[in-house]
Amino acid sequence: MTDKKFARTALLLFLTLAAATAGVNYWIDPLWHYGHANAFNTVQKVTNEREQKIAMLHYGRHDYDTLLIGSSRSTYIHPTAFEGWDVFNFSVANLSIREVHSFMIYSQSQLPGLERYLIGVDFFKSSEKEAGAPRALTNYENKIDQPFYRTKNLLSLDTLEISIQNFKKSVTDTVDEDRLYNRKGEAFANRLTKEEVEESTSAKIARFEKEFYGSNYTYYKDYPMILQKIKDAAGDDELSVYTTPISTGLFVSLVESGLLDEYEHWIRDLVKVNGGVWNFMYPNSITNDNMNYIDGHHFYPEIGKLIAKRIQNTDTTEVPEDFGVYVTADNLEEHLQDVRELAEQAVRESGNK
Amino acid sequence: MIFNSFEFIFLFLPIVWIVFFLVGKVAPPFAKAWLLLASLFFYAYWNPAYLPLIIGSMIVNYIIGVFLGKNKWVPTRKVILTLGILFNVSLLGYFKYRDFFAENINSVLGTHISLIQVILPLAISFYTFQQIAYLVDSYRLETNEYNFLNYGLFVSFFPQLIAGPIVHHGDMMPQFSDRKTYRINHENLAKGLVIFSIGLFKKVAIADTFAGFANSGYGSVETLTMISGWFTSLSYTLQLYFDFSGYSDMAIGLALFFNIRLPINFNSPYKALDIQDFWRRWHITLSGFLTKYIYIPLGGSRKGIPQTYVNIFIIFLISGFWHGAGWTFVIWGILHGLASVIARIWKRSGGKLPKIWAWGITFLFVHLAFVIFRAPDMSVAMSVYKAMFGLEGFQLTGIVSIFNESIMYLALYLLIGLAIALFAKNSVQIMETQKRTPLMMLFVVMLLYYSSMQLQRVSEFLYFNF
Repeated sequence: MTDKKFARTALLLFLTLAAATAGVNYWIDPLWHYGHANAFNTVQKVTNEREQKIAMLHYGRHDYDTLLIGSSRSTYIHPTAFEGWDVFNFSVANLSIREVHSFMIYSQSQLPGLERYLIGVDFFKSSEKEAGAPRALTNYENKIDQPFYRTKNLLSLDTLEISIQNFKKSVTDTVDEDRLYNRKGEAFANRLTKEEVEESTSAKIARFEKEFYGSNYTYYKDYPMILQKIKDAAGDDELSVYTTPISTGLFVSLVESGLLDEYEHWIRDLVKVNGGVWNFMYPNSITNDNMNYIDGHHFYPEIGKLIAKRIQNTDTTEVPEDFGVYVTADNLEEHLQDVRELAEQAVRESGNK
Repeated sequence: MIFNSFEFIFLFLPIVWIVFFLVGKVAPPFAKAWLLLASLFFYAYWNPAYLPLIIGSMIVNYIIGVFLGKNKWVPTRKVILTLGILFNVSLLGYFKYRDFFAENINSVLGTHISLIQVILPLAISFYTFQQIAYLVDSYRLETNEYNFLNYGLFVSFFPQLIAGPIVHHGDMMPQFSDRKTYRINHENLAKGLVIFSIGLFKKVAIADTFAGFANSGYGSVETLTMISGWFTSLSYTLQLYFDFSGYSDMAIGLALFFNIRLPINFNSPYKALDIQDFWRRWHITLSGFLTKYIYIPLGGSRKGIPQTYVNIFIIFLISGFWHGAGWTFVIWGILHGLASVIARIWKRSGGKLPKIWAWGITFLFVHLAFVIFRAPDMSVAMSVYKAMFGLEGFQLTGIVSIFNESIMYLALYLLIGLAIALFAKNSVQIMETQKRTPLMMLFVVMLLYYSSMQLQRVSEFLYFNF
């Protein structure tokens, strides 16, 4: 082989392979940089929701009027569950309450028509341990602002690996993981059997007791200040705060580890700062059924839909009557008394099992 | 800009290469100017603030060099040379060593000299040495009168600018003057592709893998035990070799794309059978510079045995300090100086070891010395040593959590890394001797493809479900 042929063929082959890699990655778009949908990218794996969603927001549509921010639990609330509202669901895994403000500020820079904010809050994220450390979206903002950010990600074997997985799942229409998305940014979870749900719920409760509840939990004293910052960021726009529903089993574990007073403290602060809060986190007909959850902690999208409907329309008959209470200063004490009684009953029933 | 980046491989390099040969076909001086501008852009891309520094340094040294080379105003030449060297040493001293000295003076004398905490200008250690050599040779009347474009390229030619090899003006500037340099040479292109792809793979696939293990180990020294201590230190020894030699290979390959030959910088150093042999194989161009411009002017081996040992010790002390402004580097240099002196004494006394012992002792010494080279301070180095020598126990538990990898795979990676370093042909040998077969071409394509598709890593977020 002559040097000329060697050099030319090698370069040509290399460029062909690189172009093919970039082509496949563009076609499947596993990092949500381009937004096109086709039959081969309908199922999308999560790589890093912060990065994927910030890219989606940055490179995608800018005409949403509603922003939904929450933890992994809230990822299962589909934007299409809201009628008449054009929602961008910016919920991500392991969201700290300290991050919410930076999510709002960044979204405001991208979505000029924002009118409404829906903020999902989790009790276990109100502890000193979970809310104490400063967190913000800044690193991801910087990351997507890097020169050639999208092009670089097209030329990547890591991206290709995810593209291939997405391709396989899309072709077979397989949802076999805790969280997979479609091209509209809606999250789905695999359907588990009753035995699998019981097993994953027990494991999750054990983990919460070990990592978040009991002596691991101290209510973060600056939590109301963070809530106020979020409220201020919303300005004159509509702001609805809701608590995420956990399974009754996990709620019982919270009560048994002595955190009911802290829970009440948390609800009081939510009401005090925001004037009112949608509370879904107490024993009710939805939370009593473990099959509504993947693991007693993350609910399925149909429950997300019920949350959406309740928030949009207080008197809707499409949602079980006992699911969701709008708590204000007027009904706060009465509601907390109800929760206390429901909790006692749930603990008793749990002890009888 | 670094070689293993998207910007470099897919944008900078193709654009610079294509324009260079298109312009070179009709007007070589313009191609030369283009290459100089491209090199300065390459430098400035990292931090434009330091561009005036390198340009200023180039202009001052060029003027002094030309003056010295003309051999006029003879009585002042030595003073001018001294001033020129002082200028270079002062720049290096200010940016690289000022805070080190200030900290030490503060701690010894209780003074409060403020620290400048300036970011070290990229490549200053390299271009300072190259320009000092140019001044000294101009004083010795060993340089011809060069034009500024050639000189500027000798200092800033992007393949060797950041991390060497340290090049000699006598080797470089004639190549920039040669008209053949501006015509595509397919042999150089093919050779360049071979060695560049090997270098890129060494850096991206091998060195960066070991870097992860070494960083994890050094990041948790308090939990290291014997096995994890050796995993940590061996990972770093391999990381350093594959990283630095990979970068040198890439530099050689890139220069060949432009028909410029750079000197070999690494010649399978871990195959060395004694410490002198090691330094003939490791960072060869640095050893060459120190020998020519410090060891020989000090008297070399011409002033008797004791003075020879002192001279050897001095160049290793300087070598250590050149590598970094910290006591760990100084101690590393001292250790290599002592080892080199001991090796000479041993050889003079007629001592000889079986090959395997000679290799084992040399490798072990180099390896143990690199523990200090890597450690941020001596207490960390001592913690790693304690772990390596069993003073922190022998437990295997915890290794997976430190390195995020199973013991079996870690051991396998290290064995493969060592096997490549010890038994594989050197990349320059491969480039020079391997025939350009279709198989070789596929090998090059796969290395290039795999490595260049690793430049943007996408990792899964660890806290997936909270």
